[in-house]
Amino acid sequence: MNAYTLHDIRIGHDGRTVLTIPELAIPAGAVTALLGENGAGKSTLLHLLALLTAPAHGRLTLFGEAVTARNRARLRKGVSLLLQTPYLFNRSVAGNVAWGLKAHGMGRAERGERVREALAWTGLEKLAERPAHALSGGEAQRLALARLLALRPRVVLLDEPTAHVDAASRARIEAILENWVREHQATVLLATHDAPLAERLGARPLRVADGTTLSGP
Amino acid sequence: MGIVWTSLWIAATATALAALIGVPAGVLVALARFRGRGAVLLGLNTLMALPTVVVGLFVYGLISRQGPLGEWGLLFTPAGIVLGECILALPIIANLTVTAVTALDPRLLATCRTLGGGPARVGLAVVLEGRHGVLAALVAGFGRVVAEVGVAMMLGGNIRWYTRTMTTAIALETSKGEFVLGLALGLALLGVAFAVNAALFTLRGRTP
Repeated sequence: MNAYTLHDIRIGHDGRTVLTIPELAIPAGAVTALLGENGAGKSTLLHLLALLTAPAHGRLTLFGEAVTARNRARLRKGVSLLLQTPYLFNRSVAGNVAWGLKAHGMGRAERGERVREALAWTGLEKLAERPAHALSGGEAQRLALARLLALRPRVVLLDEPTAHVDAASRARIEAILENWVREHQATVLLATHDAPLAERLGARPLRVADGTTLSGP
Repeated sequence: MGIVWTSLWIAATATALAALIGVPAGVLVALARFRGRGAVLLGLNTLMALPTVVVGLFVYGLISRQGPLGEWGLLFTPAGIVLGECILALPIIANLTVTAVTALDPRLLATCRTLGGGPARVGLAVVLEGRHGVLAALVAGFGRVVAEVGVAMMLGGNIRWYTRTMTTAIALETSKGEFVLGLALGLALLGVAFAVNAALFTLRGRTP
């Protein structure tokens, strides 16, 4: 089964086309790595797949359901995107993780359990009550990852998750991702320059170049 | 002291009512992309300079005995002044909220949406994340209405112990030649403005 199918997609920005995708299928329950140079269109594609932007033209389906303006908000609940540089809410670490769970209508008790679990995955349990803005860059990225994984989305989209962190933080984030991918059968799309990471995650490579997608390495 | 209290509660109520409408409206205008948005922004900007006597005249027409809301008996009551001052504060609060929300980090919206936030939750997050700017909008609205005289005079009628505010009292005392009393009331008004801004300053210092 495919998580996404894209047909004749064109994404525009300021009146010009920035990404065209004639035909593309992204398999469900597998890891796909988006490889390509800076500015090739990887982030644009991830924002489209996160249902944060609508294409100027074409057809996009998510798990067989065509995405429209009417069902976009509902379908978006099953998809989460980790931004390259995350935005953290002006609240505690635990409060940041709880935000999305509240938005999903989760009750207090279950929410508390999920927050603890997500912070344990990412090694942030001791920082639960710390203000999010007091975290280092690596900790902030791990918090953003915890916030996303706590939702247990069907589709996880990661926009260069280790691009702006130091080597130690990169190793921790990679370990979290590897464990998570091994334990969950979610669909993962990872935009990265890091081909070895993609390989370790067993990712199918998908190359993005010059504003268009090309299958294969 | 009664005059100061009357001024304060009327201005605070008018600001609170204007905030109830103006803050959500400001968030909506800032975030939504719709036809005529530019015209709405232009209109809000223009209404920020709304003369108090024009608002007084407009609301007078509404609540005077022959007006459509004449039966409510609001003319020459504190509630009448609240209504007029609410209209006066509304575009200021809405417009400054638009400015505060527009200045927020664009990643905030993407983050809220990708975490499953619906329009109401996203709106609330935007207000909380931009709370300093929104608070400044409320203070600007309060400052505008606590210092105005046109609406209070036209809709309140400057009735002693009932609708007399600091500004209408200053106007009255000055017209009677009681400059010292007028000046003292003016200083009291300045003190109120200082206290409100000091409270905001403290609050901003405490919140991260």
